Amino acid sequence: MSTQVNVRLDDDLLNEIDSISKVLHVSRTEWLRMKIALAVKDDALKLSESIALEYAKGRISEKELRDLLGTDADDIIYIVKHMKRGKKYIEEMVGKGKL
Amino acid sequence: MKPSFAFDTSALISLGHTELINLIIENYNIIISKRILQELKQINKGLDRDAISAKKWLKFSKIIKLKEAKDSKIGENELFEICQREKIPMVTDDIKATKKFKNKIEWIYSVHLVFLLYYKKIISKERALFSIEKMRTERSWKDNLISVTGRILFQ
Repeated sequence: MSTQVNVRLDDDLLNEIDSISKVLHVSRTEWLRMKIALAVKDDALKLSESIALEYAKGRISEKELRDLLGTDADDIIYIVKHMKRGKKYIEEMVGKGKL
Repeated sequence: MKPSFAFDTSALISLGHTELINLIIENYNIIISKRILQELKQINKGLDRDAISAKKWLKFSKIIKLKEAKDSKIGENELFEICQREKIPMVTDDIKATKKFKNKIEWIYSVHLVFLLYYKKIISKERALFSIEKMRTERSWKDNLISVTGRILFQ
């Protein structure tokens, strides 16, 4: 299922889009659809990374992390746990002069 | 004598995206297995950013120490044997593999090695954070999680 969305664009921008899509042999709509999908994917990734960092910094709880990221939360919890363990290991080993 | 770390391919590729290879080699012995070397050579054949990273490490193939282990299709299995035998820690970003090791060997992420260089005052905090940021921009989402959350090491 898809829904039509109407967007007003400046003529200059539209001309640029038309030039690019012509070179790429795709329609203006197809080019815009792909660019929007890429932008959404990129933003979603950045948002997920920000959420992961918030959890690592202790600013959101494990439950909040799970609510926001679903199954990816398990990996983040595991990574953060071992990030802290690894730091402690390095500090201890450097303290003993072994690293 | 320099301390030793056994590196798997994921950690080498992550660290290869930084400018820290020379410093790591100067300060630590890099131990790998036959399978890890094969994986690096395979990645080196590609055309992506990871291939550039692999190439950087392969330039040091005479300095990197290749240790014997029972042949395995999985590089981490060979490294696991080496780590147990030599009693050295592994550097890996392979989450799946680390779940298999549990507490049988010591292991750390590649970002911990960057932290170690900072902790030993070999590099500045700014350089360490810049290196982790560089690793983040080059790796996939799951690998990114390590460099994204790795920032807490410097809190």
